[in-house]
Amino acid sequence: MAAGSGVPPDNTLPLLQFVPWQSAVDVGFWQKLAARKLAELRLSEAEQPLAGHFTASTHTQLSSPLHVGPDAWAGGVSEGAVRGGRAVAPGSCVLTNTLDGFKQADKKALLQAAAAKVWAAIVSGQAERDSALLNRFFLLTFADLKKWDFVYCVPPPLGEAMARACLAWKQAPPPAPPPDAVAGPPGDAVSDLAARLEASSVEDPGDVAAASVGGGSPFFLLHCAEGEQVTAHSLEHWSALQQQAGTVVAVYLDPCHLASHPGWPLRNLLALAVVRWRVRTLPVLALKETRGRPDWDRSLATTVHLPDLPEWRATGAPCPAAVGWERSAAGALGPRVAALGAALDPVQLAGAAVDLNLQLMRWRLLPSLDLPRLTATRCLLLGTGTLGCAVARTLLAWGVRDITLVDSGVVSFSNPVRQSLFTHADCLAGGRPKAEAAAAALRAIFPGAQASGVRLSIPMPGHAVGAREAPAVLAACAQLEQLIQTSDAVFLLTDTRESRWLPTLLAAAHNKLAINAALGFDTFLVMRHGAGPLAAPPPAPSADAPAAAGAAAPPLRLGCYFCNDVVAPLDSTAGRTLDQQCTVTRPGLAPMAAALAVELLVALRHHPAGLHAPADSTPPGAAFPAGATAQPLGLVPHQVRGFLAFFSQLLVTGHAFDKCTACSAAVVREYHHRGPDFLLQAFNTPTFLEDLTGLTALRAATDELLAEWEAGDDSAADADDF
Amino acid sequence: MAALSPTDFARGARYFVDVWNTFRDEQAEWVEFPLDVAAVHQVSGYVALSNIPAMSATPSEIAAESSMLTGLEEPLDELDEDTATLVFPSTAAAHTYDFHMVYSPAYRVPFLLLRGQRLDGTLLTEEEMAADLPAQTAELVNDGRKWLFLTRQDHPYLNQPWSALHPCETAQMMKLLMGQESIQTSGENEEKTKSGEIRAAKYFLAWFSVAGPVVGLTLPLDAYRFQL
Repeated sequence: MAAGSGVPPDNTLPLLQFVPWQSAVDVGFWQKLAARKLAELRLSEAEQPLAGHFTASTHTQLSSPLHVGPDAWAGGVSEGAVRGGRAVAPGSCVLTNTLDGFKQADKKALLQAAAAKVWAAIVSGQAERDSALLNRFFLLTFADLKKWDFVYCVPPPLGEAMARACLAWKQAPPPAPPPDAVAGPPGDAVSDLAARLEASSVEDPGDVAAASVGGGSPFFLLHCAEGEQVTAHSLEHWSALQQQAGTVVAVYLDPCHLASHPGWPLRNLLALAVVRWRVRTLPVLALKETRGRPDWDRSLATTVHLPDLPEWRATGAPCPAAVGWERSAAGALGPRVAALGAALDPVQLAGAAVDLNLQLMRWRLLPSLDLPRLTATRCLLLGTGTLGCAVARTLLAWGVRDITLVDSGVVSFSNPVRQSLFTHADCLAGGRPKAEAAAAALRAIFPGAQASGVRLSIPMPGHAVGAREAPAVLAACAQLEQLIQTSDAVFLLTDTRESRWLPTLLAAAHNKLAINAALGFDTFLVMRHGAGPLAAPPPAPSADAPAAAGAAAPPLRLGCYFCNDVVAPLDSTAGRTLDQQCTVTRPGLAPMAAALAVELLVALRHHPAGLHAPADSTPPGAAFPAGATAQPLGLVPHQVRGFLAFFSQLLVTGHAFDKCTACSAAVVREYHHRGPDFLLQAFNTPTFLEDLTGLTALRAATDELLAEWEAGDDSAADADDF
Repeated sequence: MAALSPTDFARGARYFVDVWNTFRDEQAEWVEFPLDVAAVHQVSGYVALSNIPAMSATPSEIAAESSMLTGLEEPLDELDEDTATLVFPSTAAAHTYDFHMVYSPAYRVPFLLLRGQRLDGTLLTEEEMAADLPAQTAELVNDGRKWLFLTRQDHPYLNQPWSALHPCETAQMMKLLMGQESIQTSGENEEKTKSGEIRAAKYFLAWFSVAGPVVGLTLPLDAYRFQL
């Protein structure tokens, strides 16, 4: 038995305090937990075996945590888990099904149950054969698998069992903080242990200890025999070693970096010493390591004075009260949260990957690409056919998230081959509403998309509205207006000319960007509408002489789709055959036009003048003019006209027409002034818009001129063709 | 192209580990994980430097805890009446880093993976990691040095979310660094020769001399004096 003489009176020694052990629950552990929860555990709240691992303290500034990693679920040690100085700590985990279950769990009882297992291993002597059992830990957790949030409590390796006894434990005056002060007071049995280990000629103590450490034994005995021989032994040889001459030192891998206090694992070793070895003093070496080897300089040696606890040694003694719930990062007692959405949630990962791809463009080719501005653009797509599907997909590719699709139709059997968001399944049972089906497809392609579908029939001039239909038609107008007001860009992608009139007017009235794509059989038009007629003009580029006469006039407002017309839109489907009603076009045309429409939006979003950006153009046949534009993405044209038969495109600029039936000041003012009445009149009376804008008068004046001309000149003129 | 074969990656990495562990007189040690060239998919394993405390002087503030936790603190407080527990400022918020060097079969170059964690095992965000990186790294990235940007990337062997120094420009960079030497492609026979080994070691050190400092890892100049 170790020398009991020379024990100072209990009250002269300071209470030994232990440094709590930090747990580090690895992201890989949560990954595996999520997979197991879904596939195997499901609703089971049964305790699951785990295995953590740790090393002795390797840093002077940081303690080594108890790692609970992805291999913890193997129930043992998988490849690479025990390497170098790593030791295994067995443990278990309870996963509650609900947050309430977690909150209401009887944490005191769970802790006590965990402690009882350690206690049982100590009392039975099992812990001496397998010392890792002294470091047993328990984890209580709740996983929110939708948000990838995990809440957990870890009472790391015990200490629990010794709670009350600690009050009586005494320690020799603690070693002073300087790193060389590893010895206890003079005359202590282990004062020169480090020196003896270093000087040991018979056997390299480093190898002895390393062998034990490498064997995964977190606790072992060093026997310092007479002379300089030092040997390592398992805990179960305590009694046998006591029969031999020399000193026996209990060694443990100490994760704590402090030189002044022992780490948590010592608590349970001391409990074992009291219960099994029945000692009142115990020489202890807290082993630290550097680069996988024992670091004798930092290791702490001392003699611990233990209380006499007969009630613990009694046969069948109950497990003492336990302590050990870990503190949260903020230092409070309570659970911790691992929020891993950004790292593990597939939806968030997809979003990050999409953004990264675009970021690469910014880092490499286009440093001035303004992705936040672009991806925040709220896009309204009117028409979810061939053009609408292709525009939506290209917007997704640019990282645009917020996409609203409008269509009144359902998916028909001819659609999926041309309209890239639909499949055959969408055509069955009468067909899904196109807007809704397209929005669902966008979300399926990219869960980060905020896509919604609105089934809406856009009212059109020339399509007469009866008194009974009027409320529904006006409601549709109001809904469309609201959709346009809450958008940043409106795409006009419908299949008739007259269905573009109302959105053109509304975009002009609310000064919203409208981008129009229209198809012929082998020709297309992609254009942006100019700013609204009542919108404030863009600020003058130079502020020095704003009122000076002869200063450069502000650029002319750009035209809309209807600015070249001298007739108001009419019902273009009445009296037409089927092939004339359906847009019969070369299949490659729509994707080209749709792609250009989106690229036009992207280019314009990067123009500082935005909606007021003047039109860029190049003379036909000219090379791209160097320095023609300062915009990061090149030209920002007004109209692109494509001729597939010639595989060619032309940039065209057309200015706003002051008698336009959709975007002129007269129309917009009238709309603001009379609202619904004006709209109904426009729908029902085709000539109303022409009268309002002065087109009728213009035509009359022209006819008069022609008549005069004919009267003066006999040559025939084709009067009805402009 | 200034590429590296999987075999040469393994040889270069092994040499690098020796050099690092010889010249860096500190606690951090690179450890080889199965550098098994014969394994499937030309997997070359990786070398790891683990639990390196953050280079930044002060760990960032502890993030505010989720509102999920409301009402959870009291019942546990009752349990904490243990005077034998030393209460001292928690180091749970301290940042530590793991660095892995991995072979990229797609780019045929080495690349550097890193993962920042708090001591309690929770991952650092990219912003927190950026704040820990040497100040000059941020400058270089802003300056458009293409090979210096960090991207979220799954660890090829561990299937966990890590960050990587993107390898897409590495071959170009190595061409500059290795000059004429980069052009000699070591054939199967030559790979076994001394000169092949020297090239692999030089390549690896040259690569590390650029990639390492980006994340604050440096070797003393002496380490680059070649003695193979």
